[in-house]
Amino acid sequence: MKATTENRVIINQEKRAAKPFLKKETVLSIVILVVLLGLWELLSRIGVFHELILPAPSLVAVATWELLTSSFFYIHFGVTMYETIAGFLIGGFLAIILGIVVSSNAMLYKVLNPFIVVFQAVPKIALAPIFVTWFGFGPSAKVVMAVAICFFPTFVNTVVGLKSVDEESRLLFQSMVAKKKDVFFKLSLPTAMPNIFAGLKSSLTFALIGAIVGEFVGANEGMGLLLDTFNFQLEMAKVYALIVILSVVGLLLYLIIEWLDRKLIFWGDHDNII
Amino acid sequence: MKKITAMIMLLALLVLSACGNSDTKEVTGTNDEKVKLLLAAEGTAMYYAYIARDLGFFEEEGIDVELLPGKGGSYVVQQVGAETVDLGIIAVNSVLPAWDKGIDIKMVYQVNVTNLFDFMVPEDSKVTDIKQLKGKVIGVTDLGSGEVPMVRSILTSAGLNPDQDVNIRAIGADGTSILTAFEKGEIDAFSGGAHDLISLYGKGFKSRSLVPEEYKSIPSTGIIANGKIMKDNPEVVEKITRAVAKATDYAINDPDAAYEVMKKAVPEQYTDEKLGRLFLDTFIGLTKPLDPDKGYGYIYEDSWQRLIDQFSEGDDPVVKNEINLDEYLDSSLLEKANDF
Repeated sequence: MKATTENRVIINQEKRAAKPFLKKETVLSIVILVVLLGLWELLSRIGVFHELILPAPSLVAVATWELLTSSFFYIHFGVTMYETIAGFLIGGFLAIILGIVVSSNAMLYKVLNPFIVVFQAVPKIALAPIFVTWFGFGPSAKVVMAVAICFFPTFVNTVVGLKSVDEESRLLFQSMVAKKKDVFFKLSLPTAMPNIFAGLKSSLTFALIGAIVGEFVGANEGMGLLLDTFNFQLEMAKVYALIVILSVVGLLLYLIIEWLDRKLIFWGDHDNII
Repeated sequence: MKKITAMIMLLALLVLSACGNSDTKEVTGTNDEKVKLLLAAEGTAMYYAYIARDLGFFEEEGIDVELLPGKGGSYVVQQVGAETVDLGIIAVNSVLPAWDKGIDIKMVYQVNVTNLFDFMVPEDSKVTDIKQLKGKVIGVTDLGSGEVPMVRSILTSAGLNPDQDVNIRAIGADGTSILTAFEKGEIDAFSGGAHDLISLYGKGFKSRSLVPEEYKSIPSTGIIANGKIMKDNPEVVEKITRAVAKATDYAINDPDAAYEVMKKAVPEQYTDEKLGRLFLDTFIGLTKPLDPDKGYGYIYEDSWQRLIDQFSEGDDPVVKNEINLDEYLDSSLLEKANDF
């Protein structure tokens, strides 16, 4: 018994030793990133890229550090994050509820779906001044903008997910005289959840875009305002630094949803992006 | 393998796009030189550029000018400074950050000689003096836009601290937003450019200006050219400024004819003819020379110094370094620009 346990320990240790710290694909991605950054730096230094159009990555790195160590940055960052997360939660919730309602009835689907599609087709930037007029000049208008932009991916995925329920499984539930709510909570919703989470991943990044777009129209605080201010001041390194920070934030938000997806929806297919 | 191929293609695209900008600079040849003129705003605010194009004033000078409306003065300054375009017309405060950084951009022609920005209250407001704005809310289009340094300077001159005694709030440039803000009592005063305010006046809004006399002659719009074209091909700059001077003269002397030209050039800005005419008359008024003997485009150095002083005030001013105006104001072409 002892010998078997010892063997198992040895085997596990060997397996751990055999696993590299980083996957081969990750290493390759990092190498390519380093090469691209190096090339960008070289082209900037020899004057191919003008610093007013594309500042060198070293300048962007310094500007990023300056921003992250400044006190004013976190006020603006906090405002944008609040607008993003509030917009995402409200937009995501509305999208799931409306998706469920619309999928539950063929007539409702045919009546409501065209309106939803038309709303999606409207360029949201055109609605930004209207939202400011309706909801005022504070964060509310930006939250509404985030809701408007992030709503559709989750809505579509909820509808698609609920419609993808396997017919044989549905018949099986019917043969067992299952109640409608049992069919929904034990069959339809679990089937749809992987799709819903896929929609939520897109929605979260769209909510960030919506908050920034809202801030461009009129804001006293937020990352969108900082972008506008630095652009006016021709502080291009800081503009790109903000873009880098927003990209990283967008990626982190995406990874959070992906982690939740893996933990909660363990029956779905999961492809990690990292 | 696929990842590597995709990355190499992306890299090639990046390099090609950076090198590809050279074909935007087409100031070559001897006859009908092609010139790109970047405008900070489209249409009536820069009416002289459209009149010069549509009445053939650029053509008479032997230049083929393409007008490129941009997205604000900062964008124009960025492109002119980076030499992707050689010439632009901007609201002048946009060039100050570039001068602060020592970027070689010259101001060669002052288009508007009076302040484009107003700082006003509704006509029936109880506020009659700047000091009465203490504790109140002042709306601006954007916290980074050109009227903000003027507002801060006016408040400071009146003994108010712009960061503590008032609340400066960005409410956008949309006329409906501004009107709603006044109606809901969210702002007590507003500052913006003539192009932002005209739509308010078109809707019947009546205001009272709080701008002190000494702020009324601050320069507001001008033609910029980068150091490279001023050195290599100043004749093109001279031709552009002369065509603009001719167009300004034409509009001042015959605003009705100018109106007809602009209606065809930017019809979308004249769907409300009354508002369109008000807009045009306002901007023609702004381009009338203060002293006709000095001609069009005259650059008033003392008013430029006042502008720089405004932008140098505060804890985090836009202008942080000393600016030697002799390096950036260039009146050398003005005599020839007025030779028509």
